[in-house]
Amino acid sequence: MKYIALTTVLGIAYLSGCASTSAPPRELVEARAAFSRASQGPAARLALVDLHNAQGELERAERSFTEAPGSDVTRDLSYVALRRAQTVEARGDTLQADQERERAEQERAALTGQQLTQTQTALQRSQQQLQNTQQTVALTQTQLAAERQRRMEAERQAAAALESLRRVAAVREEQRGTIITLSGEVLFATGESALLPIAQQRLDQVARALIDQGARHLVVEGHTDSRGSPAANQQLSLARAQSVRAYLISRGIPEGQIEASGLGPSRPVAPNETAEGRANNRRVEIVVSPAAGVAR
Amino acid sequence: MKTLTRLMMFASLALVGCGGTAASTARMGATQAAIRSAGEVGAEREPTAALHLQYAREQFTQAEQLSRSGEGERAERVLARAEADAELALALSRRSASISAAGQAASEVREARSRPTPTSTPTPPAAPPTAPQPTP
Repeated sequence: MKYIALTTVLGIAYLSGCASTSAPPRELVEARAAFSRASQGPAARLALVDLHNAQGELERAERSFTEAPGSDVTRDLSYVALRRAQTVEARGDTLQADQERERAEQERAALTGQQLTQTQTALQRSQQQLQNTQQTVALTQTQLAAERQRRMEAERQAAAALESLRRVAAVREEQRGTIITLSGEVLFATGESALLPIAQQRLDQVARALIDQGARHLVVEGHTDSRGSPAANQQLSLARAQSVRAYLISRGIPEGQIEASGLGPSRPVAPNETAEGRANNRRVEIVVSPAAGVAR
Repeated sequence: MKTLTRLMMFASLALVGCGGTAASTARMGATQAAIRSAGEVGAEREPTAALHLQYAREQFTQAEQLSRSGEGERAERVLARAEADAELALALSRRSASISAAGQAASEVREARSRPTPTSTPTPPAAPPTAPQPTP
């Protein structure tokens, strides 16, 4: 503002002092304009000393113009004043651009810092997730290995149990499960449903094997040959199945896991015309369910 | 620097006196130094700066001739013009470089602003598995 006022004063001085005698040289006119621009631009804020010096150069030119309007000296001083004013203007622009650059660099550094922090946070989060996942995988692998071990052990026990069963009874596999067949001759006296002493020993082994096999649903089925009345046979087969069931429960098989049914002569495994066939048909079968379901 | 230049100018004017003298060696040296500085900061690469550098060189040559022919006072004034042109060439060259650098910095800020930031919503950590039940 101060410089605008100065320019105005210089202009008035010029008009009042010398206008009547001679027109100012082109360099002086341009110098005034250049100084006016410089004093209104960034230099007025950022290059005060340079602007002050340019003002001095312009004043010298103005004085020279007052004293010797058309002289080479006035033209040369005006030329120098013009260049000084242009130089100040350029320096003002330079300093302003430098300030803008510094602000931009600070902003960029701040942004980069923020982004770095965010990236580091995200990285830490990812690392934590990775660690969690690795722990989960390790735990799963451990559990899988333990489960595999348990399965192998269970299979080994089941196989051992089956093997011991095969030593005391006929064992066969059917779709409904493992069928353990015990001859009626071994278990009961003719027409009776009470277990013979030898039968108890046999059933002890069967019970141990069944317990070793793990929790399975068991059905004890009583079968007879076709001699005698069907109703009596039916009743006898049920009583025998219940005897076996009761004994197995007494040997540790859970009550809820085992049921008994009497099938009479309805499911012969051999012809009833021969004594051997009838002997085979008089039997108790224990059906060991493959599934874990238990029903009573 | 400016004060020194002016002192030298006065000194040379005193030496020149009634004419028939050469321009001061100090003034010649100062102008030459200004021209050299403008060239060193790359004034040749900026068209307006290059033009003023050219003016400065031409005027310096003119001043040398005037000095040789004993027109010391006139030579001093032409040297002052040459020096002013050389300083303007230097200032224009620096302005060009500063504006370019500011533009580059602004461009880098825009680039930094548009850079994607890492996601701020973490995915939940995987829940540890429950132990599988042993098969009977």
